[in-house]
Amino acid sequence: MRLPRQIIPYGNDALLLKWEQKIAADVNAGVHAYASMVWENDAVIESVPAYCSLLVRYNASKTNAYKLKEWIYQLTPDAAPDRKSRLHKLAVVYGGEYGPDLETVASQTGLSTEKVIELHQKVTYRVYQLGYKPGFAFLGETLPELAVSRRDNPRSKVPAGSVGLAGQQTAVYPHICPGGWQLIGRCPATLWDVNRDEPARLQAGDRVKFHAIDAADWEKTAKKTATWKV
Amino acid sequence: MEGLIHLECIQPGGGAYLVDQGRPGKRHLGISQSGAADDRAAQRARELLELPEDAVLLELSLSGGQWLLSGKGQFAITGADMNWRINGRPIEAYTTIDFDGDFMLDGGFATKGCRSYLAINGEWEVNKLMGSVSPGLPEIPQITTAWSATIKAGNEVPYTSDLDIYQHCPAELTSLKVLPGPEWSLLNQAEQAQLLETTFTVGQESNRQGLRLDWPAEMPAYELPTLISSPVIPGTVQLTNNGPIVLMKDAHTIGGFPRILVASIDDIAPLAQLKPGDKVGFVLG
Repeated sequence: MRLPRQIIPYGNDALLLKWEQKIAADVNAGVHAYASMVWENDAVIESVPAYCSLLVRYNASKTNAYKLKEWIYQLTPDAAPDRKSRLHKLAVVYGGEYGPDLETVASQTGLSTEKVIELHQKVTYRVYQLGYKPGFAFLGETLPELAVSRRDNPRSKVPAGSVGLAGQQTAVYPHICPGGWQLIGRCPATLWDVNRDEPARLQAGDRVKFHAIDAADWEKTAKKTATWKV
Repeated sequence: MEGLIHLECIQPGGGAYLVDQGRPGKRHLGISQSGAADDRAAQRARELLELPEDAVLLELSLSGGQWLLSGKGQFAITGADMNWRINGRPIEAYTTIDFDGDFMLDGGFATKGCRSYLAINGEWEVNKLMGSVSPGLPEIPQITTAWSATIKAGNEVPYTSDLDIYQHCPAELTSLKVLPGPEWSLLNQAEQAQLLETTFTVGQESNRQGLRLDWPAEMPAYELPTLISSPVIPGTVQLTNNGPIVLMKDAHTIGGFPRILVASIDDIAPLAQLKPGDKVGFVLG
């Protein structure tokens, strides 16, 4: 388990824990272990994990930056309870109107569109962090061959379910929102339901595996994956 | 007897939002804190009507718009000075006002501050999503012309007015008290000094997400690396390629631009009263 390399104050009532600044599964696992462990301190009011850093906000009337930092230093992350990591198998209709940037990705990577689709399904991705928009899950890492830049002109409206690529990251837009990632397909599953206690289907630490389906199976798959079990 | 009050939007002004306590503590889900941009002005509006801390208010930015208020009850307006009128007659801010009948509430351009709060004594019949009516979720409806809401009138409260109405009006914030942010040390000493000496102008693109500060044309751009995205909180000053952005209540939850400064917790509410064209500088301490 990777330990934070640095703990620094962030404003009047928060600490920032920094790991090695890289996108790597073992570093991120360390981040999430600490993200859940810090809740044992009753002065903690917020714990926000990212790729390789963690924001911990505290109630300044119950503790201070120094005390909390010392408390965090004595934590033993290997004893952290294993968070149950769910595996989500998500269907994708690749290309065409579902993935308007598939051709661009193919030409940027020098691969055929078939190869892009094949490589995107090859990896079981890790949910590194949630952010940008409610329930937006950053998945990584894609194979190095699939690395692409963001679009020069971000779209003002990306359809819900769109599957995007940026750098060595991939993601499914949970709802309609602006976005600059290269869209290669669309996923019919519901990923965001504001009426649930936990509206986001994908949680940090979960795993995601994509599989291709035909456009003809969209409706059937959408119905089957309209909801999810916790 | 419980009556119903009706509020209808004739013209939303420069941006109208229903706000309450927001959704604090949900940043790990990508959900911003939201809630009233200026907590202090909002809280004062609630106090004038003895409303609970999570009461719903209407937040109006830059200009007040036009609102048709019908029924019998009480309201109060706090925050920015927008020369509010009721049926054409000027009304006092920071005061409980009784009404009985149909009235046109009319707000002009903010002459002092940026955001006004309209509180109505009663309980709003509006849908809460994840515990709040505030913006920040895709399902929260936008307030535009013809939008309307019903409020169950509350028990009458005694008349209150802040003796000196300017006592609670947003003070003009000219220097923002800041602490060094996590990436302050990425700036060299000359850049740090220059940043603290510069008076910035609040840009037109500012909104509830953040105040965008215009980078003076004569100032050289700083060459800073983009980081692997990391959490951010309201009050953070991120240095983007187009100048600093001071994050507010609807800010994103993670970001990759260097967090050079963090506003002191007491300055976050007054920040929301800065409007495009206002001048602001940073003071460490």
